[in-house]
Amino acid sequence: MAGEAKLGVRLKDVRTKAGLTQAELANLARVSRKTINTVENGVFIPSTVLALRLASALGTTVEALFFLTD
Amino acid sequence: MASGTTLDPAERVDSCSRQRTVLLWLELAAFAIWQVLFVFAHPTDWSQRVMTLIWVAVMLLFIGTGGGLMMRRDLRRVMNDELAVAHRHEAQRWGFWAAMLAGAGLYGLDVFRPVSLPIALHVVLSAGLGLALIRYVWLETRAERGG
Repeated sequence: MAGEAKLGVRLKDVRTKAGLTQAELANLARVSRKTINTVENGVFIPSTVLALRLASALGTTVEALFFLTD
Repeated sequence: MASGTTLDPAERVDSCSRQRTVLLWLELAAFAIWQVLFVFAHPTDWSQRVMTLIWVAVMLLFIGTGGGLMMRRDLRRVMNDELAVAHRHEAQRWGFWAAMLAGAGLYGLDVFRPVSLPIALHVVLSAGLGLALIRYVWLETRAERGG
């Protein structure tokens, strides 16, 4: 049986490359800065809807922000 | 909150979120005081019982909604985003299991040592609300400190 995959997060890299602060991304995605912070730190796994909103706010795809690790 | 300055929405939500965390800690302190008071004086008359019920309702409302009911709708929506709702749901789950286990424990204890109804209700309410509140405070404080 395959081991449980974990979620890898590239949100911080993509956000900083886009020149955005956590607060600015929070405003664009209509969530709190706390949410951005916990997603970036891998503490909180976002729903598909939030992942899509983050990707849309950063002008990228969900796959560019999140990936599965073994 | 800074007076005379214009906060952008994220800063305003941050500020409100910090206030909510402080409020949660105060509520936890009030919960501890409630427990101490119960040890020394069980509520007996109607006025004390009504006060207890109001206090329980306030706690339930806070754990159920996250507070901020008087806030502007757009701010409240961001305050109650996915993370905040997930925290509340986890706190409610912990509270549910604590209340169920406390109830089952009292049911078993009653065989050996009868427990009065007011005390049993207090224990079940305290276990459920207390653990939910502790979990909620812990999750919000952790997120506030940077995840």
